[in-house]
This record gives sequence, C-alpha cells and structure tokens, in this order.
Amino acid sequence: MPVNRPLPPLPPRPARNMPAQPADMQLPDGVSRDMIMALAREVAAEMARSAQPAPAARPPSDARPARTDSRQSKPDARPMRFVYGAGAVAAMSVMAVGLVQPDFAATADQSGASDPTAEPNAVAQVPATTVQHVTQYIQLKPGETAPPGAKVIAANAPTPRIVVTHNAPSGQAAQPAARPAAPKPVTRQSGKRP
Amino acid sequence: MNEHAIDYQTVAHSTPSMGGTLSVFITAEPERIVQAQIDARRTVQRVETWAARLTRFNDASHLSYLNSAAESRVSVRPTLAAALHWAKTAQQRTDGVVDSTLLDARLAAESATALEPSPTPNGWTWQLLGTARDSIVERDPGVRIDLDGTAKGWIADRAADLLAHWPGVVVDADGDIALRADRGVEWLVDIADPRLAAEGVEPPPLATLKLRGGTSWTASYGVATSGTSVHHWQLADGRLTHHLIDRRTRQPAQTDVVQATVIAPSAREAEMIAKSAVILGSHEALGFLARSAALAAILLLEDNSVVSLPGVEAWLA
Repeated sequence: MPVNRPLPPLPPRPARNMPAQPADMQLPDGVSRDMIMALAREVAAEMARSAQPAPAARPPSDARPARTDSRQSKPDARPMRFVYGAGAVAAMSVMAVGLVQPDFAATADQSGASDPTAEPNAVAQVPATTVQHVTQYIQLKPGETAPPGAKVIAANAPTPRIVVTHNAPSGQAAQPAARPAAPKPVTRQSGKRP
Repeated sequence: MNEHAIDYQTVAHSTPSMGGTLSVFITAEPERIVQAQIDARRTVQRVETWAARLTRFNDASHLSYLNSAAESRVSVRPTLAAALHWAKTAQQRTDGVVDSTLLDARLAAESATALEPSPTPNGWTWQLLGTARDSIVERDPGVRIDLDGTAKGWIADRAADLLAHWPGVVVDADGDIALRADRGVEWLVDIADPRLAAEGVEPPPLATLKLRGGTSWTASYGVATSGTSVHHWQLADGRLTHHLIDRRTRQPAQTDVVQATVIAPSAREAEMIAKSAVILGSHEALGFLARSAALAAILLLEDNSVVSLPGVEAWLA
C-alpha cells in the first residue's frame, strides 16, 4: 500500500530580482560583514526549519495515516502541464474530426424524400453518394385521417394500369402486335364430353 | 381504356382433374411472370389435393370414408367439413333444390334402364356439428353425401383466394370458374354451345361474357354452367335422361332448360344457381333467378331459344 512520504526540504533560494551588491558597499558603523553573514545564516536556518514538516504522529493500527500538507507548500515542478494537456486534447480532437468527417453530402438534398408524388424507389444522384427516396403509401380506412403533411390521393384517381383482353376483335382494345392471344376460359357443362 | 399500355402477360397451367380439365390463368407483370407460373402450378397441385379428399370416385377419399362409415356420427377433416358446410348452405339457400343427399337416387338413375322410383325415401337429414377444425357429421342411418353439385365451384373459389395478390386470376374447375380482376383487367369467357359440341370441331360460343375489374377495386366473379345435354344417357325406351336429380321426385328432373349459365359474385354461388335453374325449369327458374344472387343468367331452352335476365347486355362482349 502506497504511503505518502514527505519530500526533503528545498534549500533556500536567493532572491532573483535583488540587485547584486557591490563588493565595496559601505556598511553602517558598528556593523561588520561577519555580523551580516551570521544573521543571514540564522535567517536561512530558521526558514529551513519552518519549511520542514512536523514529525507525523504515529497512526493507530486501524486508521489511515494522517495526511500531510507538504504538497501545498511544495512548488509545482511543471506548472504548464495542464496547459500542455489541454493543448494535446485539442490537437487530438482536430485530428479525429479530420479522420472521421461526416458525409455532409448525404444529407444535403433531402427535399425529394418528403415529396409524395415522387416515384417509388427512384434514385437521386448526389455527388459521391446516393439517396434513395421511398414513398410510403398508407391506405386510409373509413374514418381515418391522413397524418400531417401527407398527400392524400383519391381512390378513384387514375393510375397506370394495364388492360388485358383475350381474343378481342380488332378495334375494341389495344393489343400488342407480337403478343400471342391470351387464353380464354370457357364455361361449359361439366361431366363427360360426348 | 385503350390509352393504357398493355404490360401484363398471362400464364396458364392446365391438367386433367375432377373428371374434366382444371385450368389456372394468372395475369402478371413481365418481371413477375416466372413467379406467376410457379403459383399457377402450385395452385393446381393444391386443387388436386382438395379434389382427392372430396371425390366419391376414390375409396380412399375423406368423403368415401364418411359415406362408408356405419356410425351415425362421424368425425370429418377440415377440408371435407368446409365443403359440407357450403353444401348445407346451398341446400338452405335453394330451398332444397340443391340437395347433397341424392347420391343413391342419382346412382339408381344412372344404372337404370328405365325411370324407376328411387330406393331411398325423402326426408333424410344430416347436419354438421362442431368447429371448422373439429367437425362431426350427424346423419340419419344410410345417408350418403354427394358433393358433385357443389364442390367444384367451392374449390375454384378457394383456389382463387390463394392467388388474390395477382392482378388477374381465373380458376376454371371444368367449367365452373372463379375470376378475380383488378382495376383495368378484363376477362372474356366463352359460353360453350352444347348443340354443336357433337360435331367434333370447336364450335362458336353461344355467347362471350365480359368481366372486368372495378373502377377502383378488385372484382370477384363466378361463372358456372349446368345442363342436361352433356352428362346424359339413353333409356331402353329411347328417351334421354340425365344426372340432375329433382328431390321432389328423386328422379332426373323434367325440365325444358338444356343449359343455364350464371354470373354470380362467386363460383360456388354461380354453380348453385345454375344447377337450380336447370332443375326448376324455365317457368320457375326466371323467378328464382330474379330472387337469387345472380348478376346475369343465360338459359338455353330445348326449343333452341335463349332466355336471359334483364340487363345481360352489360355482361356481353
């Protein structure tokens, strides 16, 4: 089981923005360079003690170890990592959009799909894709009403239909010239033929 | 209707069946013509299966089993039960003129050399009990059933129902015809002339009927012809007699109607009405036809006159 161990204290850093002192700087009277250096060492030692975490109390055997607050006082070694991570995610998203691009052309022209007069199973050509228009016919029963937007075709509306005639005399009905005459049933008395 | 292109084709499949010829015609679009041929062939096979169950000329048929059973209550299979149900309905709708219990009288007439009293009395009854899947025939002892007068039209209708998805269908059960015509489809049906049939050549028809689909719906028709001039024989005294038994005398009907052709909403109704018209004779037949479900009727009488119901011109080609 992992245990949080406190990191060793960092050495004190010199102030970056302080101007370098000239070597021949004049000291006040009664203050020697040794005194200043001794005071600086004491201040550095005090700062090191305050940065060092307090010794953790021994946790009871059935309790979790006490959480230390050493991280809050630790400076972030990589302060830009969140920025870099966000940038990486954005880059991956851009690449994913480029690889899996939706077929916008397939949905570009859907006006014919809602046209009830369109021919069933007609195919409209769209660049790089094919859209199949299917007209669904619903026969309304007495008392039923058409759904909103549906085009109602009257029952007696003419539709292309074919006439089949059998051995009809010429002039009564159109017959293809090359087609043989269709069989004509005969009703007769059943039973043995004489 | 000449403005429409003729794109339908007709397929036909015929085979000897039921003592005559069974034919199935289907009109179909050219791209479906192969499927139409398959359906026509399958329908013919189905019809032969039904006919084999209902015939009295095969001892293994369901009808023969019923007629040979000694019990008064006999369980029957669904196909026979349905055909019996229609036979009972036809008997009720014709006030008993079409009677399926006249088998013994018919057999006696066919084997006799002279007209003799029937060996079986009148008044025998039978009834169909139960459901379509579990039916029982209850009858007086000795009653035997004959479906010759009702089964062909019933079979033709049933076969046409199997083909209802095609634009045009004709099921010709040896002269008893069931037709279906979609809008724009038209069938022409010849009526055979029995007076010229003996000459051995194809005679001109007595008339040609024109049956077309409705203006916006599929129309169903039945056309049937019955008569005394084909199935007949000569007695010892030289007189001709026939197979249509009058239940009132239990002997071949004394009628002046040589042939009756009827158009009705179904083949089974057309068969029932045509047979009744012949048995009743022209005097009673015209009144019966007017009350019946006949859409049109053409009677050929023994004096060579042709009588029809009013309005028959609309059905002639």
